[in-house]
Amino acid sequence: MTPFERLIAESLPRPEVDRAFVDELLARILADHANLTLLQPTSRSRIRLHHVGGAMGVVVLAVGAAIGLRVRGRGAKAA
Amino acid sequence: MLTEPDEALAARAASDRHAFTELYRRHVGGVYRYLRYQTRCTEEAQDLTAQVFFQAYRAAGQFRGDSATYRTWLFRIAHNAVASWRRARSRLPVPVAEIPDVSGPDDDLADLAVRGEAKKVVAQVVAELPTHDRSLLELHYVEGLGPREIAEVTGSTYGAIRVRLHRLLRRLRALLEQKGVRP
Repeated sequence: MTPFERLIAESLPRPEVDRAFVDELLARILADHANLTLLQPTSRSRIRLHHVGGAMGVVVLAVGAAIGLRVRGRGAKAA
Repeated sequence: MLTEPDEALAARAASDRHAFTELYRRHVGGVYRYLRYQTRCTEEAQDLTAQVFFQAYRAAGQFRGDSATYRTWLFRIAHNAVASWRRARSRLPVPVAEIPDVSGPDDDLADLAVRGEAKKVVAQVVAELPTHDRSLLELHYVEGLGPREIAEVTGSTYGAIRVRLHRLLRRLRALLEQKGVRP
């Protein structure tokens, strides 16, 4: 890099991404990706929830765990 | 995992959220900076950053490491996202560029006054350049992409990018000399 190029490189602004935004976006992406499946162990009946993601996905996970349902999905399996 | 290459992580990112998370942490800053340069707006850059990574996760299984690096693939998604955004907003006025504070913590104190002033002038001149020229400088000098990688991101050719960079630097030098900066 020539001195002139170095001056250019040093002069260009480097805006930093907001850390809170980074964490929130990651949580949204992972929740959106979780395609959850509810399994009821007593009846073997299976309720599949297609494309449950975001806040609803988190709610399904929490409620499912609280009432003893097995909650399974790509996201849940990886976690 | 910290030293694992991008491409190894990308190979299993579709089914391994930890691999995707690591890729995301590595590249979210660079993608955001690129989009911030392009849009000149924090909120727009955040919206587009979200769009890029949602798409990157959904399409993770489609990444083929034989023709591009993961970073190039990601910037290509960002490049296309900003192109769509620009088309949608083509009738709206472009916001006035902010003149950023470019003084860095590693500036030599003895050199600070002269060099700091020169940097401000450079930043002003760069801010007035057309978007595609600013984008070229940002990808090369901030994100560290070489001409070949920039060509893959922008859909151009290696030769064309090298010529554009050469001409752009020559034009910048002339503009700076007009403003009293002797590079």
